[in-house]
Amino acid sequence: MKKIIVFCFSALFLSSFAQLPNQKFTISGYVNENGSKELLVGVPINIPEIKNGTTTNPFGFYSITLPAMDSITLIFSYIGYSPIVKRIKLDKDISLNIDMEPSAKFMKEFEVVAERIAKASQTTQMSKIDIPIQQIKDIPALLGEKDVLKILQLMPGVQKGGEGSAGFYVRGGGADQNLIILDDAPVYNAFHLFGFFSLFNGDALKSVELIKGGFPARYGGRLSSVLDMRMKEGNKEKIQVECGIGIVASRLTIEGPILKNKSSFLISGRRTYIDALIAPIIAAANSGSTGGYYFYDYNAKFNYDFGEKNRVYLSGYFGKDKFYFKNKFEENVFSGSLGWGNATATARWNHLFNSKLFSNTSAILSDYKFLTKSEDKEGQNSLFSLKYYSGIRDYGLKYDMDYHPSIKHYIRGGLMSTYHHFTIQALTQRDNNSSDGNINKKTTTEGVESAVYLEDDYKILPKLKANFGLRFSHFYTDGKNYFKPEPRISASYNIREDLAVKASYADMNQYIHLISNTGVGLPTDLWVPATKNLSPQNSKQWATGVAKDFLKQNLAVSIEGYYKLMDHVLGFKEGASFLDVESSPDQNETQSFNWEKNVTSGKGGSYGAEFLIQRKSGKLSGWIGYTLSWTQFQFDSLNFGKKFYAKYDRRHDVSLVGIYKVRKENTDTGEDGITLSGTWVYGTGNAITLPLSSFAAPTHSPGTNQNQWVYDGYSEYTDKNAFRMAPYHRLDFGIQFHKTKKHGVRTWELSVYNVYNRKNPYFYYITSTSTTGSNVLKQISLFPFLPSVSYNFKFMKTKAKKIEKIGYEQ
Amino acid sequence: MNSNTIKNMSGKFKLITTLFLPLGIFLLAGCEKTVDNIKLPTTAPKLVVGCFISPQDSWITVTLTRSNPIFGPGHNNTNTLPVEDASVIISDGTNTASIPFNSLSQQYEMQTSTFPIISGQTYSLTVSTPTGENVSANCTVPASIISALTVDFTDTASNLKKTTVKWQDIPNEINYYRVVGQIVSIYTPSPGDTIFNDMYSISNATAYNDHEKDGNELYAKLEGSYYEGSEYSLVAYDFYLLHIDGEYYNYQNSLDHYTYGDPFSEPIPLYTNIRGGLGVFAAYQKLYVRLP
Repeated sequence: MKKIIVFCFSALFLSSFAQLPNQKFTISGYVNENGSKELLVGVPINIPEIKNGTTTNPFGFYSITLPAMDSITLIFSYIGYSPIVKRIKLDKDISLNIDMEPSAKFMKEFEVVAERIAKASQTTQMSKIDIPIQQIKDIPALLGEKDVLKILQLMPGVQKGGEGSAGFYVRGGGADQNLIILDDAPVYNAFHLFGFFSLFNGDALKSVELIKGGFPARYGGRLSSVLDMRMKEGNKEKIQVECGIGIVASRLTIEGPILKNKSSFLISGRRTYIDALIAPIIAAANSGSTGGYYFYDYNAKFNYDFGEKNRVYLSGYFGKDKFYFKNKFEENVFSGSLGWGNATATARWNHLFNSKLFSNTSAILSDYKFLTKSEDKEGQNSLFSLKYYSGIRDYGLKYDMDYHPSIKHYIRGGLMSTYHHFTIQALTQRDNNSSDGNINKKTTTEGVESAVYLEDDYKILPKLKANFGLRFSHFYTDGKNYFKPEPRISASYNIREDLAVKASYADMNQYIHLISNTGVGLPTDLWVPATKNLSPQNSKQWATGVAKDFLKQNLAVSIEGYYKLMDHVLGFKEGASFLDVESSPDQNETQSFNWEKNVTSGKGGSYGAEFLIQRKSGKLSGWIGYTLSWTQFQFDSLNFGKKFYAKYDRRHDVSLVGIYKVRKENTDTGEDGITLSGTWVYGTGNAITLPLSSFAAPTHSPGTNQNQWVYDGYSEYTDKNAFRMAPYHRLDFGIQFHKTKKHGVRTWELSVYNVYNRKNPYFYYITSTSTTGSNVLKQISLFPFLPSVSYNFKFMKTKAKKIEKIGYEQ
Repeated sequence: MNSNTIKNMSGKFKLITTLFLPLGIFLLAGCEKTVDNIKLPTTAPKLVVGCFISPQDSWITVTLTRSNPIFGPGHNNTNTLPVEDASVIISDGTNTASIPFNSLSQQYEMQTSTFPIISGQTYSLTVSTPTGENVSANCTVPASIISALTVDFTDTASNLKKTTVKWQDIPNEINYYRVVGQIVSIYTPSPGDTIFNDMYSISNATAYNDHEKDGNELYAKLEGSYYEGSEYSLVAYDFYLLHIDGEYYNYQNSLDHYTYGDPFSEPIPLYTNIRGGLGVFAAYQKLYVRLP
């Protein structure tokens, strides 16, 4: 049957070609979700007649230019949506906007069509992970808090840091080498509660995409990955409310039209109630004391559609973490707090010059601040206060163009410039008992980061595609200019329709660095620029792989190998303590805090292989991922210049993720649904340094009578990171009960973290036993068997309604 | 949505919060256990050698102890004691001498008048014990001595004294230095009691190199305080400018920066050039200046 169709289409194609050899026409438009008019990102559009196609851009726009034809077929197919097939006579330019129906009601038809369209093997881009938002909501999570970054950690090539941490390490790169962008705005500290939760609220997100290698030229600024997240625009047709209550936090999202089909908004918020819980415990433990912790985050977005040619979007994120305490004894009050917060704002303007040329202009603000305060009040008159903060603020402008001259070329170009303002250290001390106790000290620095890029996704031959790109980046700081060309290329060759081999090369530069002496994502981590003495970090990555679609089984399989070299990566100098500098500012030292002294730069290398078999939709979906990798660093001034393994060097990393829809809820018939999900992860233990023996260190003391002494209390260590912690493994399980109620769908979720109560080591310490005096190694683990429950309600019309059937015409 | 739904839901919220939140917090508490599922790193006790030689010193001194393994059968619960029965041999390539143990000072000692230390010469030190341990190391005495230093005093009224010690780097070669300062004061009720108060480097390091400063004037900032009061009087400052070899520099630098690891930071190991052991065998040239 398929062959006949292809034959017919080919015949049609050839005949139409013969008739109108030179005339070309363009089909263009936007792809929306039916019912909400939410723009859909990355929707593949296939044209079987020419075995070719395109995808929608981040703003849902597509454009196809082809020679005139009597009839062509456009197949719009997208995970979670019923496919749409349009047959068109192409004898003029056509504007075609598509509304895709979420596939809940059309499972069967969808699966039929999904069989026919290869995905992984059809794109030039490799080393890319995109996760359907629905899967993020289905996978069990720590304490029921769904977390985008933790789902990404389950993918090959992406490693997690410590237990429960949302921080991630891509192909041997540091946690600071990930460009995390939310609606074009970089997010500098993506974590709540010391890394246990990420900032991103899944309810407000539309798409999540992580690129690990083969970076297109439109991205730059970090070495190891790009995590591009886009917020939903908000339902343009009706008000929609969704809320969720979990063990640690609650969420509420409201979206809806302002002017129907013209303008909409979305507001989403989340707050913890840990403080409410621990306050009585603290109060009970210590009378007169109060204290606690909380975090919250808000997302908001607004958009206005000025017609086909112009659209405007405003979006913002605001979130904060705070620890606080207050100790009161008679007239004396001692209080303090520690907090950090991110804010981002993006204003974007889409302009369509013509059906082939699309542009977006963004104005971006991003701000991260870490603040600690303490105040000691003794009686009426004595007051001592200390306030310290550090942070980074960005003001950016970005202009991007998409040009579709023909089906063979998809050209993107643009430019961006960001002004970074770094507050390295700002200290204010007030002491009304002593005049010289007042200190006002601030160390700031700045930099301007700019880039221009051009890339062409070029279909060279029917089977050979390549993305050629070039990015020129520039950084100016402190009188020094860095100017770096960054060539990028990725290519894909289709051996068969469902089998492609791919290869890529990317050169990346990073002009801002994160100084961290802990690696656990503490808010004290400090962003600093490249300077005259500290070169920007650079990486070169080669990757090659095979992508195969098993259409019948609806499976995508990919195997990739990569080799990455990193230069001028930053390390914390042995012995230099950043926290000390902060906590005990030298009052008499007038010169500004010199952080450059505390860091050192070196080289790194990582290579490995990644295997992924994935099923994105269907009754049973999920994936199996496996990574085999090696990551080593070499710093002249660390480990006596010898190579050492990275802490998160992980030889083996396995993840199994399964989501099984026992029964899918149906809001039309009122049927209830049940979803089962489970994940299992295994990873080689972290590489750490342990002491081997203790000894007395000889010291030379000129000027003393004996000249030479020995001092006890020193340790001999294994080579840096030469010891492996016990491997990490864990099973999580979740079950969701969806029930269709009069006003919407409610979901109860019961989940269990660490089902078989594996005691994974968080850290080790050595202690001596009191009985024999011999030493033992003790481990601290964080999360044992941990059940949780959460409740979710999505308000919607549930009475059965007539649905226009969008069929698949044969 | 109607108001009833909201009321019902808020009722459910309350129920959930009261029931499940304390449970969650309780479960968050960490747990501890003794590690028994991995092989712990073990080592045999190692000889720890300390020896700093200089043409300006009248004695060659060697300290010798053993390391105490953390895990395994080699671990012992006693304090560090000197190893007294070793054979300690120093050699300049042609001449060899055995350094005897002095039970009074608990060190191996020999006068440089019997075995001179010469500028630019390479020496080797070999230590062996009756139980078959054998370690060795080499070092080379810097060829030249720094002949002069200047000191700037920052006038502070209090007992905290700040100084900047300056000297001229030897050009066209890699050089390492260490600066040690002391404030010398006297306890006036008993004038024989001289007190040496160490001065500390402001930068936390006491060893310096001339990297990117070759041939320049180099400086070290030191500060220190002495006992204040009418019974104490400041008499002098002692400064030692050591022109040290690379082994001394690496060792001293790691000693200055030594820290234990903790779960969130990396330990800083001590440098060693002793083959098969720990500690250091290093050389230096010394300039000593006392300023009033």
